[in-house]
Amino acid sequence: MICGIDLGTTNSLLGVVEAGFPILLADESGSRLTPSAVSFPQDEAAPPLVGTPALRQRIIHPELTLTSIKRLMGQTTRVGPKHNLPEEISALILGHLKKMGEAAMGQPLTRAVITVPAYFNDSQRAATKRAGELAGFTIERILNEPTAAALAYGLDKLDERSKIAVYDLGGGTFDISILEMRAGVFEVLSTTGDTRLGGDDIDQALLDALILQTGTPPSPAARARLWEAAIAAKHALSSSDSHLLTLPFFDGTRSLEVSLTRTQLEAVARPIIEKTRTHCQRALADARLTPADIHQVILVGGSTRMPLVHQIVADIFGQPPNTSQHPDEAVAMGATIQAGILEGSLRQILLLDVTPLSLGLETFGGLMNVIIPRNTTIPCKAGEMFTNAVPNQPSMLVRVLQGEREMARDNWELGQFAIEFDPGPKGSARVGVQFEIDQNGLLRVLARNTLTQTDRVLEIASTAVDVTDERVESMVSESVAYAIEDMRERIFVEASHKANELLPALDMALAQAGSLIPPDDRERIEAAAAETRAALITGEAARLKAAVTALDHATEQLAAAIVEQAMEASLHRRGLL
Amino acid sequence: MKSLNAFSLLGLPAAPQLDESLLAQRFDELSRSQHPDAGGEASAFALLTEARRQLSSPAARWRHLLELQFPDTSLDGALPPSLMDIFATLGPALQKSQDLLRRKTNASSALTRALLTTEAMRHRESLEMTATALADRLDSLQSAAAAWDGTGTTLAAWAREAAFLEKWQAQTRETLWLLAMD
Repeated sequence: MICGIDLGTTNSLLGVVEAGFPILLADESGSRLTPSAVSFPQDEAAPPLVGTPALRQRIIHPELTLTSIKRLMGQTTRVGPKHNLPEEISALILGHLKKMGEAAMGQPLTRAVITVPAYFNDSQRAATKRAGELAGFTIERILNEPTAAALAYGLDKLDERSKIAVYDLGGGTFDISILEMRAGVFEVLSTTGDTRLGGDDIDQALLDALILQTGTPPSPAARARLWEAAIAAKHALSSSDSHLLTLPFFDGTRSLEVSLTRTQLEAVARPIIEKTRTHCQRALADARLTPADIHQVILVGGSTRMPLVHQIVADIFGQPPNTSQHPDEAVAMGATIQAGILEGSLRQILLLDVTPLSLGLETFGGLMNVIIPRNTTIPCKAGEMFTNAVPNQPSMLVRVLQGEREMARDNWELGQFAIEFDPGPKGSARVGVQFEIDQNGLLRVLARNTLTQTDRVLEIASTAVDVTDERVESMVSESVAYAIEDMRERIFVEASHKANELLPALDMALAQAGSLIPPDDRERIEAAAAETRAALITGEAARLKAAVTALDHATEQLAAAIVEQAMEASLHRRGLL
Repeated sequence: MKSLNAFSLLGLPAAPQLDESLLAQRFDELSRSQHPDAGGEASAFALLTEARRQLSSPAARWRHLLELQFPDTSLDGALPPSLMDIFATLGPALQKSQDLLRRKTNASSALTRALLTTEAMRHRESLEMTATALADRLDSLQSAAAAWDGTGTTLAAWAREAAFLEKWQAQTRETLWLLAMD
């Protein structure tokens, strides 16, 4: 039996196929959601707590409790009181799910499908696989979350032919995938996303706003309480228009009572959710489709409960989103369906997924040479021939990269491997290297010896720098002393750069479109411009920054008028107006 | 992957013209037995997707057919002057757009970005016109493929021209996408 696992930023779930039906398993208290939280008891001998008990410890011992560990997957930073790797913390969550599932099924669970954000790179996928193995599972598949959600959506529509988009905004990650369903074949056409964008960011923004209201920086414990309250308020405001946030003696002496409206929350959340728009447009462009080609936009992930997300998605795709899937459970259901496909109990479905990121090598001049472009159907492979650049060159180092940027240094470096050459004149050696991406999205590099016709797996040495906690701490304390002076200077430099750009632009803009804005708007702009000029002369950093920000705000209407004017002129030129 | 015969792998006639829906149907049928999840080999499935990729693009398809049936005919040769006319408009338009995009990225306020809109719209208009010209030309090449004279020389000329058209189409599409972003 293979189980399906959604290892989420906020919550994790586990399911199995029973009698041909995917079901999610619940713990003894009847809950299918396990909070992705781990807490280390003060008593060093006691085992770590996982799930709801760990989450309860967050308020009492925030320094001993880890949440949102998924955001760090693939990094070599050590975290928590025991200096664990992120994958070791994830393994504790997976081990907990395993025990829960075994108790529910009355049999050992040793094989698993685990989901990851579609936009996870090779290192993040490999770390997730290792976490599963540490927990005692054989990992049968690393599956992309939006693809899993598409399976859950399409399970009862196997004779349909349509194109769908899956918009997956979870606690910490965002994915958008476009799929084509062709009578049981689910083919991913394109996928993109941001592995550091999610509901957590909204919580953080709301928390910052609350802290600002209380006036002083809170203690870690008070901060944890404010954080919980911010999350509760966010949840409540998905179904009601206002929420009273009360925190008696939240820092021991003071109490907080704030009335929050949905409009206020949305003002904080909008810039974060708006970041998903470009990704959606990129996914559509990569699939060579327009919003009108999409039959359904499926929402999954807890953060898609926010009414603002529905609004923004409807605006992007020109149609109301499909909310038929359970936001927290669809991905786990899909993982379970894939487990069923792999164990042979769901035969009529075939899933064709893609690699989310282009794979390439660094070439001379620091450029990225793409070997496998993004959105290539996996499993896939590509070959590259290497030769010696100088006579008797013993070997060369090749850097492997993932990403979409032109310069090698702007992409994610997966590591490097060495190619060995037989001695000979320049250009005489010939070593073929094959890059394979398997069904899990994981990379394998093989070198072919042309003489013996044998392949050898090349070890990719990770080049991620291991930063120890002590080093981080010393880096922090060193910088604090200089920070205040540094900051003042940096603020002034940045603000004056912006002022010097904005002031001449303003003259041009007023000449071009000054008549299009109301007179009092113009007065406000001119007052802000005068203040900016004055602050530039006096050299006061804070004053200049405030003035430039005010000028930026004051010119918003003017900027919008100019854009509108330019677009209208373009429509005229094309005979459309 | 020189030995790959994409046509026979997908059970399609080796011809310059392609029945796209038949390709999709054959691909799905074969995937159902050759995908690793269905008990197939990863390398066999990788060949299948590679074959589909080769046949889907006219440039790659014609080049592939040329290599299979006319291994001695070279792909090199002159390009029609009318194609160079398209590039004479496209090249500068792409370059100016790149320059504008750079300035737009460096702009730190909404107002400075707004002032670039007129220029951005003009580049979009010019690129959209070129995009139409490129698509028309690819279309007419594809219709010509129905009446192929059976020579390698014709196939090579088509493959050459389509390779440029497809490359420029991709660049135009990408630049238009970037220009449309805020």
